[in-house]
Amino acid sequence: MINASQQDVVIVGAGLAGYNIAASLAQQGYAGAITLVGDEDWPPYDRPPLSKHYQTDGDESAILLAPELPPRIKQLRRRKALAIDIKNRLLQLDDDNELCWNKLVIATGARPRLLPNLQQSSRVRTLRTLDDAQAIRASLTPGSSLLVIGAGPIGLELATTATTLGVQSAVVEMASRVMGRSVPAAMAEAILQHHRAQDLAIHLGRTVAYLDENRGEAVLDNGYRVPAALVVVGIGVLANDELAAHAGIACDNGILVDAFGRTSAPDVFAVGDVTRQRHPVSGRLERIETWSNAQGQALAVAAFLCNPTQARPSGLIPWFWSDQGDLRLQCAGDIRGDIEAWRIDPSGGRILVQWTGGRVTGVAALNASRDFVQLKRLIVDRPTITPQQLTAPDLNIRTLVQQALTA
Amino acid sequence: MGWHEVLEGQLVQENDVVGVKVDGRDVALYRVEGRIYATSNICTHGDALLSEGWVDDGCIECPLHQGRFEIATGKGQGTPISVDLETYAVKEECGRIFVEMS
Repeated sequence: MINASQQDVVIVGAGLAGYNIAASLAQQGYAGAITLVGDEDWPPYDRPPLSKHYQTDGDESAILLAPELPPRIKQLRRRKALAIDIKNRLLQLDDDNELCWNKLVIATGARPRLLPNLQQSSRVRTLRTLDDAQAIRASLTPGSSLLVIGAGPIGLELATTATTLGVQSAVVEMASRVMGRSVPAAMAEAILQHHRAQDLAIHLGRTVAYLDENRGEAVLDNGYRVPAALVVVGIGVLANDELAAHAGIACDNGILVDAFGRTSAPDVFAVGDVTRQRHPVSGRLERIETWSNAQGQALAVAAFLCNPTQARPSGLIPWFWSDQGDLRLQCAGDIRGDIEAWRIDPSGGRILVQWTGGRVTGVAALNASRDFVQLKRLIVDRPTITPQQLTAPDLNIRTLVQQALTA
Repeated sequence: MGWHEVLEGQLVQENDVVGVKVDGRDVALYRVEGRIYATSNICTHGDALLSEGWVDDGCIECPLHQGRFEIATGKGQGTPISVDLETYAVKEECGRIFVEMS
């Protein structure tokens, strides 16, 4: 066994966050060796299309994060990391090999929460990986039926996509609204009304009591029967932080990291869905399970690895998008606010802005990308706009935002 | 083929972007420090219109994934962008904008 040279970096997890660190290091001419370890048998790929485009076109090559990995990156596939030895700077793999590292990045992501009373049925699946998406896709044939449990972004994306494939789709949600953790209540209501108007059945305040295997149906807790040849459980994720926790790295429902992805252990970093960090708007420690967070954190950590004295924290305002049928939802900042105001433009786009303590702290948009991109700039530290300004007739949002930013 | 008259110059303001169709193609027009530029309006990374994005520091930021391209050259500015943006020759004459399609 050879000792790691001064800067050799090992990245555990080959999703968006892990891949982006590797690619960014390679691009910036990082001095050490770059090894990317992942437990899947695919080149790094993008997960958002798994519940949308991929279900319609089934094209794996279209979702790869790069046509080819940069030659500087060594990818180990189908390898699970079993243990981190911080003192000796080793990573133990499931093939009895050990990797030496000088810098370690943990990007192990998250795994779907399961419903133990249903999960033993072969008709029940979760959606996280490309393998999951392939299996689901094989069942979404015209005339078939899908029941999604959980009205979060992935569930609603999959249900609306399945509808376009001629699959009879329904959603059951335990809470009294859709997208409980990710959008303001008023926006959730607008999304619900839209989907119901498109004939997507959404059962709120309900759970699945049991599956009637013979009839291919799910029976809800009120006795209602829903066709369910396939059941997909989309009720959130759990951080894969056990590897870090067992090594004594500080975790609390996610690996605790600062704005450079530093963990409590020297030279060990963490990025993406597995981390818990200070939310720049709410001020709380949160797991920010978004594509943009994985992207932004990875770039900040890569910059820090390349040049710790010059690097700046990502400073990214958390945001996400979700394409649900013909709805493009985009949401930034915090979902709670003291005051909120809608702006509805004649072409049908809708924006909901929230203020907390006089500052803009949240922007949510339905089919209003351009205005969203502008208004998002006002979140937190900026001079702000008022609800009266936002709702004034004949408003040019771009002009308003430019004026506020240069004031 | 050739030059196409597309828009009145005053409709593209400083640090703004406007989407147009030229010869069946989606083109984004920008004005940076007074000069007009033209690129493809479709992000090379995702299914998004750059004319809905944000112009900043000579770059266009895609509204969907926040990938960035240099407006003058179309060059992608790092992940998630792996393919540069097509650019088009453009000129402004007598207050009108013309784009050349090859």
